[in-house]
Order: sequence, then C-alpha cells, then structure tokens
Amino acid sequence: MNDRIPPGTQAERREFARDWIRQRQIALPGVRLSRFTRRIAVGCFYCLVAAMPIAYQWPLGYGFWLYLAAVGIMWAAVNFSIPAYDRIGDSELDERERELRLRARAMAYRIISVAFVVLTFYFLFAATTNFGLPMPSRASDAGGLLVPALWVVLTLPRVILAWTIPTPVREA
Amino acid sequence: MPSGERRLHNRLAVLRAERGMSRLDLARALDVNHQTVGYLERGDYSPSLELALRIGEVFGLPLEAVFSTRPFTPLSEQVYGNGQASEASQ
Repeated sequence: MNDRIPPGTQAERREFARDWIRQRQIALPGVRLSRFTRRIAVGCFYCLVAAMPIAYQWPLGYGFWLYLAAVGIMWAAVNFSIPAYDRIGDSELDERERELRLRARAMAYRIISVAFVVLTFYFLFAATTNFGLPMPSRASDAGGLLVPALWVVLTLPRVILAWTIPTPVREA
Repeated sequence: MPSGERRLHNRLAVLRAERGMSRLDLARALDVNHQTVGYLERGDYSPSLELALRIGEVFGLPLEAVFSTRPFTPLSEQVYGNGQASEASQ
C-alpha cells in the first residue's frame, strides 16, 4: 500500500485518498480481535438476537433501550473486527480474501436454506396436527420471530467471516 | 484453512528474513494483502498454484525449495549435516 500522497490535481489526490481508505479497509479491520474473542462476540450477539422475541414484548423503557444498545455494541464488535471483504470489488481482493468471502456466503446460504426448510416443515406439521406445538397466533408474536430471523439472515455472512478468519498477523 | 486437511509446509519466513524483506515488501511484490503473507507463513492458508509459482519467482527458487508436503529440516542441518553443524560451531 503506497502511503505517500502523489503530486497532482486535487481530483487525483482525492482519488488517491479514496483508494487508500478502501485498501486500508481491506488490509486492517477497525478493531483487532483474536479469533477466540471474535467468537465470544459472535456468541453474545446471537444470544441477544435469540432473546429478541422476549424483548419484543417489553414496554418501551430503559430496559428495552439498554437491550438495543447491547445488540448494537455486539454487532459493531463483530462487524468492525473483520476486514471489509464484502464491501469491496473482486479486483481489489487477493485469492485468499475472495475464497474467504465466497466460502462465508456459501455457508450462510446453506444454513439459511436448511433453516428455511426445517421451519416450513415445522409450521406445516404444527398447523395440521393436534400435538399442541407452539405457533405464533398474534401479529406481535409473528413480528417477534420475524425480526430476529431477518437479523440472522442479514448478518450471517459477516458473522461466519468473523467466526472463521484466523487471528490477524502482526505487521513485520 | 488447512486445519484438519493436509498441511503445506513452507520456508517463506526464512527466505524473507534472508533477503531482509518485511511481510509488507513481500506482499507488495506478490500483489496480495500482507495478512495473506502472514497466514501463509503461519500455515493457516495454502496458496493456489499461481500464487505459489509467483512466490517461487520472487525468491528465484523452484517450488520444491519453498513448499513441501513434509516438514522442512533446518537449512543448517541440510548444509552441514546433523553432527557436523555442532562441530563447526565449536
């Protein structure tokens, strides 16, 4: 990565600065965490997401806002502890980064597909049999399930990256 | 990552140190992220054939001098042999 601003027009310098920031985003995550710490952050984040159906029932108060802040902080920890592979074009990534991104997307797709099939069969089974299996009956119940499901779907590729990328290597 | 898979051993760190190159220098020469060089050295990532050939070119060495499926013996041991190395140091 070339750190020196080249002489030239303002537009060229701006282009250089933009490119430098982009390369920096790939090279270094915002927060340097070991894989173990990242995995703890991922666990905490998904525990909080799993608690969303309960939080959904809470009245709007300090507890609710604290919960939302905790979700935000854990997501930020997960999000900024990995390089921005999924926000940058293929040409700017090397083969290892492209492979990691591709593998994370493929794994997320597989997990979501399996979860979708399992849930579809569960709801079909619960709706057509009399075993008393829990089913969302009100709109608020459905919302309490849909919102965390959406969170999982949208965050899974980055969470898988955070789970799998090895501890960063020190510059030497 | 080759955790359960067969691991590819390499001499990148030694070759880099011999030539006084930093990870960043080697990364620039190979046009990859310096983290990739670090992961290669640590054995966390096995390179593609193309990248392995490029690494060989940068060091001016054949592939088998840089990569091996078996652990490398120390270079001093290869040059001086096992017992002679300690004799030479005395």
